[in-house]
Amino acid sequence: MVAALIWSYQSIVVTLPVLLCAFIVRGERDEMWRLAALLMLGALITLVIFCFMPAVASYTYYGPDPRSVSEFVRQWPLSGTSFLSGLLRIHGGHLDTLDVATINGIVTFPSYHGIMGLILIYQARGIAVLFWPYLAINLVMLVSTVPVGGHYMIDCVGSVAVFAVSVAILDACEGKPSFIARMKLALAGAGTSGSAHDAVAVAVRSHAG
Amino acid sequence: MSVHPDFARFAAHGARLKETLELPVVRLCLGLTAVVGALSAIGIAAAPFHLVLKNFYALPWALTVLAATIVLQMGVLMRLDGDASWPAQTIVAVCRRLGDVCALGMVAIVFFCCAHLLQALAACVGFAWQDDLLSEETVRSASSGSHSLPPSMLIPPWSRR
Repeated sequence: MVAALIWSYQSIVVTLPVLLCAFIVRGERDEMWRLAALLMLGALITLVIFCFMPAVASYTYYGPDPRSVSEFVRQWPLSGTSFLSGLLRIHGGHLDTLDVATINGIVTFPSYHGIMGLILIYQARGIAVLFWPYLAINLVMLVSTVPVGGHYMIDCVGSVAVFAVSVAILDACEGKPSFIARMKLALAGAGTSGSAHDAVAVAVRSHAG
Repeated sequence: MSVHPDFARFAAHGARLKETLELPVVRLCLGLTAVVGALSAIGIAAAPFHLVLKNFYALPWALTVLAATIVLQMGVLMRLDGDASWPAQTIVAVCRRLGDVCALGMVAIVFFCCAHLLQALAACVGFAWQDDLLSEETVRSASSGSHSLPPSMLIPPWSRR
């Protein structure tokens, strides 16, 4: 269980390139750029929020009983504290060198790991072979942000909000109806004619036309 | 002014790149990268400390390699112009995808390097702002109940440890 949580937290280094490769192989250039755009929007919104809410994360604040987290720390010594040295250096005013090769993510709220997981699920939705594994892996990853990433639970809620805003901005930029509008149309269409998928396709086509 | 036909053929293979740059999502990515780049530059210039950027030399190298790959794949496409054999068509398909990936890679590398930089600068700004907000008087008034926010919201985690 602990190993699965740690693996899912680190799975982003595999799942992101695999999804990118899938888009390349399928010749889906637009989806590849959408993936990048969502990751960028998520990062930018996260940075703006981080400006107002820098914090050391849960392991430092709550100082859990070492026995309760010993298995996480034994299997991955950086569990819950991977970002801490960098963050404390900045807070202490000792930041003098920024090293691209060694820098870690230091954002607590919202969890960028969580945002990436949600983006991967969202972008994999058109590839059936990847969608279900990605859904499973990234949902476990969302859970693992607390014990492995050292995030607070509210950070995951923040991830969902940032993800939703990123998708809304991307849809607006591309002139697409919003995700909620598409769902409403799909539900309305499903009631009158055939599948929800057809209704969404008709809605998008009519909007584009 | 006449253009050498080889150059004209070579430039024609840049059409896919041009088409890519016209996609709204690509423009969004370029815009976001420009914003992050500008903020990083302002942040470094305005930072109240001397910041050494280590290993950033890798950035121009990576961009050069990717740009060279784009030019090379355009050259290959030009050479295979009109060849309908399956090996040639396979190479054309691979080259086009390679071009797409390199273009994406160039934008992504610049964006995420700048975002990493901004992350540290944002933490500096945030901590300074928090320290200012969390003056002793504010915390005292919060503890005495005269503040609208509960003390736990106002006392930074590091001061409670």
